[in-house]
Parts: sequence; structure tokens; C-alpha cells
Amino acid sequence: MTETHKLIKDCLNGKPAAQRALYEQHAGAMLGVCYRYTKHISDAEDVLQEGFVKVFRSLYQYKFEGELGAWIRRIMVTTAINYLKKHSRYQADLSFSDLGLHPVSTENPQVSLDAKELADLVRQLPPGYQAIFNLHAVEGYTHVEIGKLLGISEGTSRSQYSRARALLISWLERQSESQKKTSYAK
Amino acid sequence: MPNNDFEKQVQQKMDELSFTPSDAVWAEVEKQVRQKKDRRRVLIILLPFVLLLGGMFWYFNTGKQSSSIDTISKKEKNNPTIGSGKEPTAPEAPAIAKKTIDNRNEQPDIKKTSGKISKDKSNSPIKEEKIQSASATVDAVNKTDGKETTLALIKNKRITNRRLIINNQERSRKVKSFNSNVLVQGRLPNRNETIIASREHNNDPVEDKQHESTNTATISDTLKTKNQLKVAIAVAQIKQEVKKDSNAVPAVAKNSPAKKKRTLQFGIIANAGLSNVSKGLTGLFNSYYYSPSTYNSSIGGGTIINSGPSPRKPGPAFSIGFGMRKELSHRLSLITGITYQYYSNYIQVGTFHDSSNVVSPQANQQKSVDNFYSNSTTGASQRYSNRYHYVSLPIGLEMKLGKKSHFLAETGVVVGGFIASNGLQYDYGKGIYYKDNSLFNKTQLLAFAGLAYSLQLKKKATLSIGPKLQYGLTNLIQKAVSGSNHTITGGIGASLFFNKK
Repeated sequence: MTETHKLIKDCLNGKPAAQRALYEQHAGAMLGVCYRYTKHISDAEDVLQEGFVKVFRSLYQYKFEGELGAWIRRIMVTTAINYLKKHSRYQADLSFSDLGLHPVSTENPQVSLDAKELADLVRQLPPGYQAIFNLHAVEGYTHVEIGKLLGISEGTSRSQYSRARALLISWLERQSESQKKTSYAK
Repeated sequence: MPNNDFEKQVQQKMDELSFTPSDAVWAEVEKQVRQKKDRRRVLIILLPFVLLLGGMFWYFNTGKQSSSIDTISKKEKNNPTIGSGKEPTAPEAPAIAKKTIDNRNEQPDIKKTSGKISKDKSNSPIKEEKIQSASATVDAVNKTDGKETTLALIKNKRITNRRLIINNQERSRKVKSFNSNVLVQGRLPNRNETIIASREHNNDPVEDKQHESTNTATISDTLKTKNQLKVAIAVAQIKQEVKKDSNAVPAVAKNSPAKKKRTLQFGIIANAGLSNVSKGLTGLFNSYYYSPSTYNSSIGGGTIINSGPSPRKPGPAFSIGFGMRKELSHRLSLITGITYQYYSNYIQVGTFHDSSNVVSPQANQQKSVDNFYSNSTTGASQRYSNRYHYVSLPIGLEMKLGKKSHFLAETGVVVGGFIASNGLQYDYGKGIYYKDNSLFNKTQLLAFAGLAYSLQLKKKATLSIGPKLQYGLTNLIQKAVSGSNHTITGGIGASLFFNKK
């Protein structure tokens, strides 16, 4: 029996130490996931808390297929989306409009920012862009899946994502230019 | 789809993203996970009780159904008009045979011989051996010609009329006891003789015995050897007639609506008395407290630097709410409802400090509190009332102590959900009192028992009142914090249930 198996078994038996260990193992990375979908760290912590309660309550459903981390991550993403839907301050972030034509950017700039800087940049995307960008670019959800999850059409998801991508690339380019200027000045 | 290099880079970067969540997150997760576990535990505890109550409900309902059929059929045997609203009339009454032998002579009756044959609950027409075992008395006083008179009576006897005499008043007084009178009156055409065979038999064994001995004496006195056989034949025939009459009874019982409808009443249930927090049942009047000698390191945290918390003294307690009463059988009822419960007790505390402090409810656990009370031994002392508020669901059984008794015994369980409290906890390390409602067990299971006197209020309502004792099966405060601590309440319980119109 692997350590993960034992840990899960102990968690299912209600052993607090095992539950704590499981939490410790995944809490950091999962807070990172929650952070990308929210605007404040306190909201991210709320999502994390809600998500872990769900994890412990539905741990018996885990079939040991795939990594436990990926399974927990899916729960966190769903919890985050539900959190956005539930709280009025995030309503604007979930108001999607199909703008028809959308820019198709084929650029693939180098991302020189660190994880937190990139996440903060994504969080600055206009309402409606952030969630779709995260779901598609980071979590790898298809537009059909995103459409189902957010209750929008596949086309809307696609157009929102393209705009988000183009905007983010332009910000990244601008940032790398300013970084270049700063280094030249030095 | 654009080239995926950008997405891959973003994915890689984002996977590196990690933060350290604050401790409060885990505390909240643990609390919520534990809460669900506690709820499950309460359900597991309650399940046997629910099954037990359900089983009792089923047992008493099905058991009583057959017994009520018995009772009614018994009543029907006595009086077929019961339940029909009709007064019993002579022709319809089947149980008493009255035989009149043609009276050609104008002279008055000389003597009556009476025989009453009794049947108890099991003494249905099928069981004739009981009838047969019943002795009959034949008393022929004026036997001018004993042989001929009796013989004539036997030969000519013909039952022309039967009458059931039911003493309704007596029946209502004694449900079990019933009499069946068989009167056979025979008048001899020539010799002016009347014979009435009668035997009375009650369920009362003493009365019955006395009666039998009287009968036996009468027989021995009156029956002469030659007459004995003839009279016995006469009585046997009378019995046969009675048996035939009785055979008709079950049909009446079958046709009647046998099952009595169980009533469901709604009303108010309330209790008032004193309460305390105790280790055992004696804690209601004796103050309960931890003494330093009983305190060990596994309870609470820190070292003992004080003489322990104040003794607890009993405080007022009450509960009030809506109740429902379901009659399970003649003697047993199920009572449930929803009530608000209030308990309290008194302790002596020191001065109030509106400043923060760090306390240790359990070993290796520390908490910050915004304010606290010092120990009463360290300075000024004041009385503090610990108050606990619960919403409760009582489930109990009420049993009549006797069929017609007004006294009731009741027992059951109460499931209480914690609402609020101002109760203080004691920090053994620092010797201070502080508030922390998270240390209370949110669900309480209590057992209660009591006696009550029941009164009918003008047939509109039933009031029951009597002493009641309630004891918490679960700890009021988590055991790890305060050791064994159970609420105990004693006082007067009352219920008022309104009868349906």
C-alpha cells in the first residue's frame, strides 16, 4: 500500500492527523489555484476552506485513478467557480458577452514573469476574461466544457479567451519592453 | 487554435504558484468536518431509540387491535345493541332463557330456582366445558309431589322466551365481569310449581366460590336422590339452550367495527425546576466542581496554580414548547414535540477584565480571549449565572399506572441542539474564567423520567402534572476540556393536551 493510499484510508477512518497531513500536502498549491480565480487572498482562503471540506466529505469517491492532487484541484476549481457565482461582487466577472469577431493572436511571447507576477496579471484581466483564461490556458478545459461549467456558449468562451489571451500578451510585451528599457538605463 | 507554447508556459508558471494558508483555514475545515461527524454520531445514537419506539408502537398497536376485538365481542355477547345506539329490548336479547310452563292454575309461584351461567373472556361458546363445569342450583321447595313435579317439568319444558338481563351499570363498573342470567321458570300445570334455574358466576373468584358453596349446599338440601337425575337433565338442557344462544355471538362481533381509533392530541408541554452541571445524578443539590486532586494534566492545559474553579450551585431551569401525544394503547402513549430549554447554574467569579488573554482549553491548544473574569479567591467576588439555551426534541412514553389510575409514569429521551450560552469556562493554568461557546457540545442527548397525575379538564383537555428528572447522557462541555460534566434537571413537569372535538 502506497503512502497516499494509507493517508486516504486514514482520512476515511476519520483520523485527524491524517486529515491534517493531507491538508498540509496540498493546501499551498490549492491556495494558488484559488488565488487565480479570486481578487483577494481572503476570498481565496474561503474557497480553499470550502474546497477542502468538500474534499474530506467526498474522499470516498476518489477511485485512485489519476493523481490525488489533480482530483483535489478539480474540486477546487469547481468550488471557485461556484464561489464566484454565489457572491455578488464577482457577478461582473461572470457576465460574458459574445462580441462576435475576436482577435486571433498567433504570438507566443516568452513569459519572463514569475508565477505570482503572472497570476497577478491574470487577475487584472477585465471581468469575464479571468475565469475563462484560467480554465482554458491553465486547467486545460475545452471551450465546450467551459461553456457547460459557466452556462455560456462555446463561441462565447472562445471569443472571451482570445481577447484575454491577446490582452495578456500585449501586457507581457509591454512589460518586457519596459524591463529592457530599465536594463538599458542601468 | 493558436500555437500552444504560450499556454504551456503559463501552465508551468501557474503550477509553481503556491501560498501558505493561514491557520484559521485548517481550523475551520476541521470544525466543519467534525461537525458532520458529530451529526452522524447523533444519528447513530438515535437510531436504536427510534427503532425501539417504532417497535413498541407496532407491538402495542397490533397487540391492542386483537385485544380490542376481544373486548368488543365480549361486550357484544353481553349486549348486542352496544355500539348501535339502541336500547336493549327483550326479544333481541339472547342470553337469558326464561321458560314458562303453561300456568293453568291461578295460584302464585311457589319457588324459583335460579341458575346464572357465566362466561369469561375466553369462555366463548366454543368452550362449553366451562359452562358444563358450572354447577346449577335447582331448588324445588314446594314439592308436594317431588317426583312428578320435576318429571313434569322436564317433560314439558319448552323454552318459550329468553331474556338477557344486562346490568349496564354493573358492566360499566366492572368491565371484565359480566353476568349471564339464565332464568328458567316452570310452572306445573296442576301443582302450581315454578322452577327457575339460575346460576350466577362472576370473575371474582371469592364471590364465585361463595356462590358455588351456597349452590352446593342448596343442592344437597333440596335434591333428593330420585330427583337428582331429573333435575340434572333439566339443567343440562337449559345449558344447551344457553350454548345455542351464545353461538350467535361471534357473528355480531365480526360485523361490529372492532378497532378503537387511537387519538392524536396536540398541546403544550412545560417543565420548571432547578438545574446544575454534575458528574453524576447527585449533582442537582450538591455543588459540583473540580478539586485540584481530581484534576490531571489530561484535562485542560498548563500547571495548576490556583485552588480550582468555583463550586456550581443549582440555578433555575425551565422548558416550554408544543407537544403531540399519540395513544398507542389503553395505557401507553407516545409523547413528542419541540421545546425551548433553559438551564442555569451559579458560580462565584472575581472581577471582570476587559483585556485580552491567552487560555488553554486543552493540552497543546491556546486561544486568545477578549475578556475574562478572575478567580473569586484572588479578590472581590460576585455571583455569575451560567445560562444555557437549547432547542429540544423530546420523545417519550407515558404509561398509566393501572387501568383506571390517574397516575402516569413517563420516560424518554431529549435531543437538544445548542443555541446560545453565556457559560464561562475555567482555565486551570491561569485561574481565570472566559467565554468560549465552541467548547460546548452542540448536540445533547438527555434521558428523562417522571411521574404525573392526570386530570380531565371538562373533557376539553387533559392536564398531567408531576415530578420529573432529566439527566444529560452526553457532556455539556467537551470532555477533553471539562472532564465528565452532565446537565441534571429536577422539577415539575406538566403537559396540557387538548381533546379533539
